[in-house]
Amino acid sequence: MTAVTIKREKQYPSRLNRLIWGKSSELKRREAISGILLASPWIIGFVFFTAGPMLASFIIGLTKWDIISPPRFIGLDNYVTMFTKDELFSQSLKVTFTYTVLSAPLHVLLGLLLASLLNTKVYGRNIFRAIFYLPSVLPIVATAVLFSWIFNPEFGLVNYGLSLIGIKGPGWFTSDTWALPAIIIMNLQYIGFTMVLFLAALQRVPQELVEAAQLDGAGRWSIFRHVTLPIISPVILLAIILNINNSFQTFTQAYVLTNGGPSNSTLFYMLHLYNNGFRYFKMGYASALAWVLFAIIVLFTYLNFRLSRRWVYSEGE
Amino acid sequence: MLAEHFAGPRKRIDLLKYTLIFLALTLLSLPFIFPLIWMISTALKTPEQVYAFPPVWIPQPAVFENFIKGWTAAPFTRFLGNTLITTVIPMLGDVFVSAMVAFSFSRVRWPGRDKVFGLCLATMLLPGIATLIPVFLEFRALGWVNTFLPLIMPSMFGNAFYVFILRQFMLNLPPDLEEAAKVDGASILQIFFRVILPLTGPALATVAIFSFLAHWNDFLGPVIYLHSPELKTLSVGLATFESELTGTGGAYSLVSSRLHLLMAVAFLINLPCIVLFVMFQKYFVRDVITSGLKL
Repeated sequence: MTAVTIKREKQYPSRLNRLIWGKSSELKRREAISGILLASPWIIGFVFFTAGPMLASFIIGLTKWDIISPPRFIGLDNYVTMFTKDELFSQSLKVTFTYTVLSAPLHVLLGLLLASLLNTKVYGRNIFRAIFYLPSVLPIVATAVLFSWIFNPEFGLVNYGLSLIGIKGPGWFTSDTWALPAIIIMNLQYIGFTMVLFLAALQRVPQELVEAAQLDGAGRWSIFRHVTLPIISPVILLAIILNINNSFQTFTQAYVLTNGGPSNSTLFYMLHLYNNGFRYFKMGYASALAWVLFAIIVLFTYLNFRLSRRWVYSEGE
Repeated sequence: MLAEHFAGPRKRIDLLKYTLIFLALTLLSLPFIFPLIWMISTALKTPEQVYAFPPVWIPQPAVFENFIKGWTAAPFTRFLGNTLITTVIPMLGDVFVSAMVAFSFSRVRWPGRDKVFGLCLATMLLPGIATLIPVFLEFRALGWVNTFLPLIMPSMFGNAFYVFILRQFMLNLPPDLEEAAKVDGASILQIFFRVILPLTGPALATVAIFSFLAHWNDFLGPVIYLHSPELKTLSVGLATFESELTGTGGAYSLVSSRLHLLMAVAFLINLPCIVLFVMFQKYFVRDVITSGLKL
């Protein structure tokens, strides 16, 4: 074969070269053009809906702009206002941080617990999995409306249940103290997402490793701690980052249920931003607010990645 | 069989273990299923039964008429039309454009491809909030505020998450699939439509379902862009209906003689999501996640 080819090449060098190399580079060039064309919607979208707006957002954040009159450049004034004059800014940060610190770990821990329980040969596990996941696919507004009824101070199901065990339930959404906890409890309805992430990760844990550990006489907890946990640790990191990301951007629940009240106890950062941008039309100030939250989220994501080097196990390194 | 099952200490421990897990799961699942049952129960009650004490789980009589009454208490049929427009059209965009982009990222060779895909991945972790206001201003400059376009157009440029899912799926297809077509002189576009797309079915279904739910459930988008009452979507219509029942006080002290109607409408809005979930459950759990985790 080889000899024949070489012979032919010698016979018709130019024609063969054109056939193989000429055509193939022409093909390569055409493939590259097609590829870029096919990817171009995303690239154009990235420019107009992500990169451009992010840059614009930073510049708008340096202006005072009510969208009726033209924007006026005011330097860093918006940021100064935020930290010195706007009391609702610090309140909304406090609410959002409190919520995130309580809610994100709950989702990760409970999600992992549910996934571990479901990752056994327990009877009816597919039905359980469906039940835990179902609320995650329902519209937030419908769930919010339902929970305002369930948490109704006088006639709600929760306080009725508490009264059965002799506890007088709080006012939930009508109470400064209990409105935020009520939102945290309600949002546990969305645990299905985290649970499914973990479930998939657990199903990928190589069974040989678990069996080897069992042969070595390791107990259940020891296997979980030293085999399972390291293997799924990258997914734990992902779950932490996504949950923090989501928590920081909570909006609909507060908008529908409490509108930030009572006495701003559920004034989430996104709601404060929405009010400034779309109720008071302070586009400059709202953009500055957006950049601060953006910076906070990116910082948290970065810190999580940094810290993860200490606890996330990576294969082959 | 049964005797065998109970034989030996090991089996007995297993039986005990699974019984405990089953009980734990049963207990834990109550808060996830009872709210929905309570919603349906309330939706079927008469106003008197709604506030009965102690609460009644099974309404006597069950008033199915509530669904019609609730639905017609506000122009929900119109809202349904609006929601379908802002759900189905963007869904088609999400599916086809994302598939095209994913195809380019996975099976077409071009310089800088993997760097661009890396950028696409990075945008998934980017909080959407940073672009909320400038994108609004962009659409406003185009005169698109108070039209459906701001809710439709972004999907026509693909979505990073869907691109990611589809790319992973396409990467797992055999590498030499398109060789025969290439030899026959098929263009890249023909390969996409005739060879790759028909094999991507399950992943396309996953993306379609996720996209449908995301648009059906969207709230912030319609609130920001659709101001005329006749342009409202179901989610916004439901929120408005609720604030009408409770006055300006917000939902937190919800007491109303029409609460059963509110629950009836809320259930009707949930219904397509429930049906979709029950019918296509495997797509939610299996495909997405297994494809999504091969980072």
